Amino acid sequence: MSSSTESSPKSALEKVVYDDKVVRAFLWATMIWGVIGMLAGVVLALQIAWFPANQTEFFTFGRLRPLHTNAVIFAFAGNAIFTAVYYSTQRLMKTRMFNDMLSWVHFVGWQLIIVSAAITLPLGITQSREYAELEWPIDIAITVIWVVFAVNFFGTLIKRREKHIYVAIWFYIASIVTVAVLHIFNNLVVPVGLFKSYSAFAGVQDALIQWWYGHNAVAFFLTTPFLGLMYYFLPKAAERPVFSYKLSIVHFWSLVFIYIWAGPHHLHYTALPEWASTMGMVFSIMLWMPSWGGMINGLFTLRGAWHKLRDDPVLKFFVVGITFYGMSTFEGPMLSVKMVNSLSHYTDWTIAHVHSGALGWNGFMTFGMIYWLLPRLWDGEYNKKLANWHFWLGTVGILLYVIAMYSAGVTQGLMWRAFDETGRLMYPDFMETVIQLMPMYWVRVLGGLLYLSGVLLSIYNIVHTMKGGARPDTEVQVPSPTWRKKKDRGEDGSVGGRKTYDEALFGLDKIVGDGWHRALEGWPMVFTALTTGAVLIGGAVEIIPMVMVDSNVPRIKTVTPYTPLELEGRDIYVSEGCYNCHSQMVRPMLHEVERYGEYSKPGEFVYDHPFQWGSKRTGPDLHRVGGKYPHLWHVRHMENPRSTTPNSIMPPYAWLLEKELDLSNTQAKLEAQMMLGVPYTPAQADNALQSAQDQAKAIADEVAAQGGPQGLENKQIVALVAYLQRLGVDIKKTATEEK
Amino acid sequence: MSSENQDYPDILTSHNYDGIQEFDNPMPFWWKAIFVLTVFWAGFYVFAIEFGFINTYEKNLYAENEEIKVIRAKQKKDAPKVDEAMLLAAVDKEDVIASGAKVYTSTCASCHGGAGEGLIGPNLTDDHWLHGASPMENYNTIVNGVAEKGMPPWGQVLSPEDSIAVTAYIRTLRGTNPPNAKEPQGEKVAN
Repeated sequence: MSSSTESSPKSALEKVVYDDKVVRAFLWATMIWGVIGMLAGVVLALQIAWFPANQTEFFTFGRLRPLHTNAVIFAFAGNAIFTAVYYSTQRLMKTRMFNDMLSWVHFVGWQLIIVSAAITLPLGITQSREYAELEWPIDIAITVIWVVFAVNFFGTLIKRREKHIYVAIWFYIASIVTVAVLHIFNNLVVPVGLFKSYSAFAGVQDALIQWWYGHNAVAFFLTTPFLGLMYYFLPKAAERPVFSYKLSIVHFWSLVFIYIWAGPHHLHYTALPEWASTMGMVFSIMLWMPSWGGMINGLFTLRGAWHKLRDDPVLKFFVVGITFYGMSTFEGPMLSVKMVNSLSHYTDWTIAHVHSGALGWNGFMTFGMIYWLLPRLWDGEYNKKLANWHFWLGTVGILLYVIAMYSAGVTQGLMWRAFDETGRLMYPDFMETVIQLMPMYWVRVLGGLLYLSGVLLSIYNIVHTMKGGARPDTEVQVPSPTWRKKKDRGEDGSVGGRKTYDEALFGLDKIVGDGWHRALEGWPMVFTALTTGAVLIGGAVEIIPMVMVDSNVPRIKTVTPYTPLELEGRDIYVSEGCYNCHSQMVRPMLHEVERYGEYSKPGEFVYDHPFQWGSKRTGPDLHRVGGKYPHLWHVRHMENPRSTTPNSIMPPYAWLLEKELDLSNTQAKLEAQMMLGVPYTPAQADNALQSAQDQAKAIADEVAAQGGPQGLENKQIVALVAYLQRLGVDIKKTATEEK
Repeated sequence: MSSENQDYPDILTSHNYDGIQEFDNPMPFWWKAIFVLTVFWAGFYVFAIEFGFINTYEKNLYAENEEIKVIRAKQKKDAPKVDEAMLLAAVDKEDVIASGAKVYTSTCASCHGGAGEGLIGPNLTDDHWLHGASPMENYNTIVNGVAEKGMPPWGQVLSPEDSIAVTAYIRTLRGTNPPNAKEPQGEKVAN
């Protein structure tokens, strides 16, 4: 027993019954959502390789991709985290969860949130913020349920019987606190009705906040909780002590402090001021060793237990999972180096990177934990042979996936930047760079299928294990905590009386006798406060100046707000998820300027609530597409992309030519934008409907005059065309006007 | 089993959490060393970019631009001079016309229509011309563009061979009378 419980002989034993029922519920939710999320992933992979897989407006790539990311991050990984937290926290704190009711509200509430995501995202209800697409009512529900979780978790820490908190608990604390902060700040919006909202921030600031969130969702949802998971389940499964307590301390604090700064590396070479990019880059490099601290403590804990790998599927999953963690936390800093990023960004390299993390680290750690839990939660044994099959199918699946995507990413990145000896782009036609990738896209489908089939085997295995029925809740006898002050005094009989200074000093000396950090581990609430402080610093230093200091976003006089129709078109662009495949950000590189036009300036995005810079170019950049083609080209292209661009892999959007354009909220939308500081006049807002109809008529007439379909003036397509034709043109007005 | 490993003393701390114990091992030296190096490197990088030893985005773009200018100037000087006879000869070469058609579809069709019938850009199949009807004039229009009419200078994108091929291809469109033809624009030129 730990030094804390080296108690007086008087200490009695108390009976503790752990709540294993809720753990079983979370475990099942993990696996069911896992299958759904990964199935969506396979469908998406197929849609890229074979565009006819885009079926109906509800399941195009643009609408399905957010469903996939939300399902695997928040449903699969989320429920896996909760499984780990609920199982291990009770045992590490030697107490049942704070409140059973809260546990179940948390469980049911979280699943309902995911169901609502699965319904709203295919309907095109989205904020278009990656991994934060869900609209504001669901965001509020997430906040409420997260608070329920936090109360339940911290309540458990308060009523604990173990004085000191173990490193797994440190990581859980950091995760719970930081996710709450990230979620709230990235979802500050002004609603327009129940299903639509505009981000409180615009352009550069909006992008910075979104990627501060996006990056740290990876950190505090997919990294720190899984490190917590590793620190509990790995030494349990290996039956070996953790390699180094000192390393735990140093890598925990350095990780939570440094991680938060690294967000801007998602925005290299964009209109984000370069100083912020530089911060993101140098902190990412410094993050390398703190991340690897977790890998070392994981792998070195297995010293002396490597022989167990031969016949224990749990350890196999853990070892490969930790190895992928090490690989992706080396790759992350590497990709954050501007020069590397200039090649990798917007390509499938990023996709390879996240999937080695998600499939390798999050997936395999989850499966390892689940196989370890099965015989402990149910009265049965899982089939080891099938579990080994799962392991190998998964491993081969990941390898096929990432190798295909690495080669696709590097190939396309090199093709984009290639100049021939005459000083012209070698591949001026974007399509050429896409066709080249098709074989790799098929290999990805295969890799995904293998991984998914392994998961299906595990589902069978769980059902197989369950046959013996659920085990009764675990009961243990725990010495009652003698370290609680009141009790101490009661037992000693030394009641009341102020301590003298000498006594106080002696007491302090005793507390920090095992080191100051050991003392801190005995004060979970102080620990939480310090963690919160460490996490807040980086975000504050980067975000506050960007929002407060005007010189970070120099204004451009000719950039004016969107017309009411363009704003409606922009909402359609958001709703269809166009940003999932198209960026709106020409980087300051010669090949981009040659291919797309003048590079994007911060001042061009000041009315973009939310920003639409995108993070991947499955199709070309669109920031300078305004005026590049006639209206009719866009109409034909949206109706059937292959009619204007042979070999295009874009899904057809024929319904945009049929569905009525809804202008009933246009005025309210302008008014919401005015609240955010977009300089529309009240008269413009009042006249919004008329203005939108006039512009729609003008566009429809021009399309008809060019020989296109008649009568489009009340269809969604005209709004989208109006928006696309406006993209990136304001900056050119200077030139014409100055002439 | 711990005694097998010579590198670390493997002395247990007194900690015990639900049966999990912790060694009081030191952090690996290489881990600490690399961590410290990355911190120094971060400081160095910030210093270097602040004081101009490392190029910013804009400086890099400027340098790239200067480099390409030299290449293009040399290319312009070295490129064989395109003349009327060369363009007319190209019209008779089937492979040149085929590659011209390809360039036309990917580059020109979006504005001039798939069959040259005209869309936002003028009709290329009739006898009316805005910027001259001769092969050389066509070629120059393609290569240099007509800024005020929205015709981009394709010479920056297309190689001279491609520009020649597409000029020749456009010549073959003359008088084809495609459907949905745009009304004539510019001067009528006798063929």
